[in-house]
Amino acid sequence: MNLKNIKDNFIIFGLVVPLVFSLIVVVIAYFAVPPFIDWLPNNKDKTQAVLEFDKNDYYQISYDNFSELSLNNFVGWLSSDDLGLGCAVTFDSEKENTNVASLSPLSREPWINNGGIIVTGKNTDKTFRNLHKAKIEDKVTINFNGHEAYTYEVVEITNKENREETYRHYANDTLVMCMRINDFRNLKQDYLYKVVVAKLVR
Amino acid sequence: MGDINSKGKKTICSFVAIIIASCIALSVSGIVAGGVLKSQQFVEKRMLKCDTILLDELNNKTEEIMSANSTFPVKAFTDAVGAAHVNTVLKQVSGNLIYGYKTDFSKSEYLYSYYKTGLTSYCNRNSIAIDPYMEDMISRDSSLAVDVFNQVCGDESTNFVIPFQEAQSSDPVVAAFVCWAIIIVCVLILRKLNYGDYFMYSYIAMSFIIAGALMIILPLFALIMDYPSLFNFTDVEAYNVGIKYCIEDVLKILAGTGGILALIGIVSMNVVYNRYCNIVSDIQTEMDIAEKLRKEYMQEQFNYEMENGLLSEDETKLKKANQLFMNDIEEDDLDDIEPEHYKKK
Repeated sequence: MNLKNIKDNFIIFGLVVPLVFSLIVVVIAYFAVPPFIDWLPNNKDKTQAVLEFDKNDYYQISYDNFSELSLNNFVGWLSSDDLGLGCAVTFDSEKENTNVASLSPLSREPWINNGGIIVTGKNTDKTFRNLHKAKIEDKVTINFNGHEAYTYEVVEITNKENREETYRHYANDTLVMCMRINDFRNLKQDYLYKVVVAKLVR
Repeated sequence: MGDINSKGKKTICSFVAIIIASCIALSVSGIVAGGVLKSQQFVEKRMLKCDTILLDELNNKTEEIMSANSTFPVKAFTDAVGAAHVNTVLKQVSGNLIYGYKTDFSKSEYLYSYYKTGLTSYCNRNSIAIDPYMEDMISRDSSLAVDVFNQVCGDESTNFVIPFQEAQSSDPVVAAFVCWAIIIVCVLILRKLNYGDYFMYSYIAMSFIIAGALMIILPLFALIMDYPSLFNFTDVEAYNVGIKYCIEDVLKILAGTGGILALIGIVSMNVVYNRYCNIVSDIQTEMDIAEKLRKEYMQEQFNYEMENGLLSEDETKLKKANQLFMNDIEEDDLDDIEPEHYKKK
């Protein structure tokens, strides 16, 4: 082996192989990185609707009237593509520390005499936080467990109402969605409510 | 193990060197990026660059909601909570990103008191009497303003932003240990495949150069392609921009570290090259001397035999032809002699 061969060998080792390998990796990265970034579990639009659910995750009984339900029974699944909503609705569970919306006992069955629905949810990502983004004409659907799905269209949005004021929105063929806002005025941990009123779409 | 110059062995050694390079790049990147992203000071500095984005977002949202729901002008709210509060929020968010906590201001008594104080001051400045009704209005609107603040600045997804969570976990350290175990195995393979140490060192130097090249080229490529802006880890635009700044700066640091690795590789390669050249040069010098002595001896022997008439005319011609032939092949002979081969002799 003469000195020229040695020099050639070292140029291959020190320059050609590293550059060629790096270029190959860059080409691979060009195709692989964007899908990888999309695949990252936390790296997606967090306002997308959650339409798939497993009702077996909730305590459920079959019912025809809401009066047959008791605390925390699964009522149905509330979702909205427009709002990026998707959460379970359980019966009278407002005081429970769970990631579900609560169906008010004042509600009446839509399939019996066009009853109205009042649902209250927390100001969290998994429940009603996206109600902040509600706009008139947004669509919201409730899949009642064992019954058909009902779709409502947002017609009114109001802020800073107390609990009693939310009830005045109750009407037949109406869905009233109330999101709790912390009220600092007293020590009883009362709430203000952002209220989104939606009418049944026929 | 076959001939040291055999192409098969060179290919295997190059492949092993690439594995070593990948392990060096992975372990160093993991440790450096993990270490940097653990630093609250580093993250805070980048997050604070987004203060104007967040403040604008907050002011716009406050105007949108409070103008429709409050009797107080929007300025009363925007004066109550401003740039200083937003900076505090960004510092808090930096901590939340690093340690994995949700960002929630919905029950912040501090914020409530800031808004309440701001609205009260507004009333005082404008000579508005604060009767019980007005006080109730101030409290209610302050509660609502806290919710608006939470809409803009609150974000549950700060509890799991993958780069920060990975940095906090033991994964980079474990990965580094695994990589270094692989590197040790690969070095042993290289040693086994190369009788002379100098070839082994040149492959290791090549690994460092490849690792350095990877760590320079890939981060620069990611920066040129603007991959950091594809990340959308949180719901708040300002936080996403802050995280983007963090990732961009981590990539720049990795490129710098890659430069150091490449420099180590180049210097090592140069040292090995010079040492190798010296050895080959020494061998050639010694062989030249030996050849010169042999030629002198042969010439003397030839002259002696000629002078004493010991050779016939044909033998004289044959010996001269032999001398010419030996002179022709000596260069080729030298090419086939390796340092190790010479050392064994």
